[in-house]
Amino acid sequence: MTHTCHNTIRYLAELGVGQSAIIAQTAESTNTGNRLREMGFTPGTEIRLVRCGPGGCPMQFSVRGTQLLMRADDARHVFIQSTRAA
Amino acid sequence: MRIALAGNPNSGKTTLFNALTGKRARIGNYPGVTVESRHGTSHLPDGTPYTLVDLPGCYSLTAQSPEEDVANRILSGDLEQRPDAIVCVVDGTQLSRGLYLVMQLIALKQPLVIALNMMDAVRANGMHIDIDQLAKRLDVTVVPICARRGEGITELQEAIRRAVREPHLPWIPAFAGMTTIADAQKNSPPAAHALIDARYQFIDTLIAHVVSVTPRSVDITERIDHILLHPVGGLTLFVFVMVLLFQAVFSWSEPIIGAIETGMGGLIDLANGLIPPSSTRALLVDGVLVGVGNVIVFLPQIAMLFFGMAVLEESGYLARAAFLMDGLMRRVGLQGKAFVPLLSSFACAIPGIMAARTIESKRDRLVTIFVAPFMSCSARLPVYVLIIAALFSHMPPVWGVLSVGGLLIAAMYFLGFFAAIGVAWVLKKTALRDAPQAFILELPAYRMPNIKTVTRSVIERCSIFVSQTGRVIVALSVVLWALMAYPRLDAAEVVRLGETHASQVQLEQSFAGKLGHAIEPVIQPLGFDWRIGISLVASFAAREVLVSALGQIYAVNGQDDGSLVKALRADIDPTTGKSAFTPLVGISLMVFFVLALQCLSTVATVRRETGSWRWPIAQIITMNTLAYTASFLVYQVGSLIGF
Ligand SMILES: Nc1nc2c(ncn2[C@@H]2O[C@H](COP(=O)(O)OP(=O)(O)O)[C@@H](O)[C@H]2O)c(=O)[nH]1
Repeated sequence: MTHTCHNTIRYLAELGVGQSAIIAQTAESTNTGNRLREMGFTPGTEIRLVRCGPGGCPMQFSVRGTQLLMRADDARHVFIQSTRAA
Repeated sequence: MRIALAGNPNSGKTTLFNALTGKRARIGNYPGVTVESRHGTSHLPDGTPYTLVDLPGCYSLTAQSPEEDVANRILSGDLEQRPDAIVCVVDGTQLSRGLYLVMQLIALKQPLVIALNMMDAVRANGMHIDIDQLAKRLDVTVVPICARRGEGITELQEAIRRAVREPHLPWIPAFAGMTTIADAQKNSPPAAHALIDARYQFIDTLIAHVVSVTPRSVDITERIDHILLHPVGGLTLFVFVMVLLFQAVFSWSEPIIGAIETGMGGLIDLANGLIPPSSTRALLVDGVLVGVGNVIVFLPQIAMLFFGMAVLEESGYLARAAFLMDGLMRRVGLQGKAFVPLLSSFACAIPGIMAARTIESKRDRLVTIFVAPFMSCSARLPVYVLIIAALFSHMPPVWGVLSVGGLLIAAMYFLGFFAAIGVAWVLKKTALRDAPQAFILELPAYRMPNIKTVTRSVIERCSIFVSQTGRVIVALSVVLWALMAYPRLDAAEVVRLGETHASQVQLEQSFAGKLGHAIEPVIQPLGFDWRIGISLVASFAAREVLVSALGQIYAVNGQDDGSLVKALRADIDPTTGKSAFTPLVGISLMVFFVLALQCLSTVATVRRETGSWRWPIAQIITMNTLAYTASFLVYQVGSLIGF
């Protein structure tokens, strides 16, 4: 994967409900970043924010056909490229 | 011979373990870790028996969590004898993550078999998997199975036999010479990420080659989630489910508990009738038999809760409950999965603490276990009720409608709850500061709960409680009984005093009685005299024992609560000429009961669940210090302002 448009890299937590994006990177030296990478959060993978829990937390993401719950704090370890219309 | 069973969480590992072993598993704890070990016995097609070792469910082997660490150490032969072959369960509908674990197992260079599970769901989803291609490209035997219906088990056993008898080490040229991810993570994180990406790229290519999908338009799980996770509808339904679960644990278990108590009473009478009176009989009946009774009275609640939990977990709803509750629980320093354990602790902390095992994060699990006994359990209720009946029932209602007693009980429930939040917060800032873990939870697809798995989980939990926790409870009960029974009054004295009076004198001059007297100076600032002191010592067997111990000391007929209430009211302190049992003493005593850890069975359960005495001891010290301080403040401040 090449990331040509660095200016569009954003935090995963900024994704709106129902929106999809392409994963750009996971944090390199954090435990959470490593764990997520091993669960398939590799660059180039599509990710979608399905819904948020009551009061906005936790967030439900769809990645590689799996539904994962994550808190905003942990989602900060993932960076996305650009948003696509849902 | 040993075969290890690996797999992602929710891949159907438990179901396959049950299908392969049939009989009960041997469940223990690995020393020094809070992860459970499960071993079962199965047979190869040629009749050779082997031990099946269930690894904790994990996504990887890089030791990011205690579960992964244990899995890793079992596979490398560090915790127990190294397995001769590995069976990896892969959920056919979740291929990419399952295969990622397979990649890591391949790197271990041990004979490997893939059990491709949930083939029924694969077909129902309109997926087709080319098994032969998959096996060829991975260089591993792949057996399609449906663990739930027992399909493919014979073929799997045959594949295991071949893996052991004609060992073949899988070899994928693309990965030859690569370092392991765990090593790379230590040395160079970017290199580790590159390795992970390379594996996923390999997997993506592989899947593109072997899987063809005829897309179905509706995703049933997403449709159900739309309703069950709805902010209003979903929460309403959640409350309903929780009320039902709590009812089951709190009320529906009551008649069974009653029956057990009656049965135990009958057994005790029978034993007393059969064996001539002696100190051996007293030890056997009043010590051991009563101790055994103390163990089995918990079984109905444990069975009810674990039945409910197993159904919720198997169906996939437990993870949804965590989704709905995480926002709230996060605010009080806990996480979504702590909700059910804490809720059931209002009935009894023991099943609640056992239920905390569904929390993956070790830190969150420990915090939940630590604060669960603060929830006012049903054993505290008789204590509150007695105190309120004796001291507060004659007071006029507040604003004409709210009874003082009702308000006090509500206040006690809130006090326990807020103490739990406070202690959880402090724990996370101090003892458990170093182990923060991300909250990442999978929402599995909805599935019909399998009655066999549910029953098995209930039986397993109950038998672990009896065999492992029960031993400690019986031992502690016997010690406590001996403290109250020795030194003994001689028989002539008993006859002279009459039964009711003799039991009062016996308790007073026993070790426990002496202890109660000895601690009087310590508990006086809380408003407690030696009689409450003795009852406090006795109530360490179980909180509700306070009521019968007070009855014994006030020499009232054990059965009748009304006479104890009268005795408490009539008790006049000879030095001051005022009532010894003032409302302030009552509140102080209730506050003490809310906060103190006085339940041997809870202590034994925490020891079993955390695998060491460290946690229960820390819990006893923390809770009892807190209880002492709070009662001290209540009584001293209350006295100062003139109550
Ligand atoms: N459709 C289907 N469901 C299965 C199969 N095997 C297990 N399950 C279900 O998958 C869920 C998770 O299974 P479990 O054995 O608890 O998974 P574990 O977390 O890996 O131990 C349960 O609801 C099982 O009933 C299978 O072959 N087909």
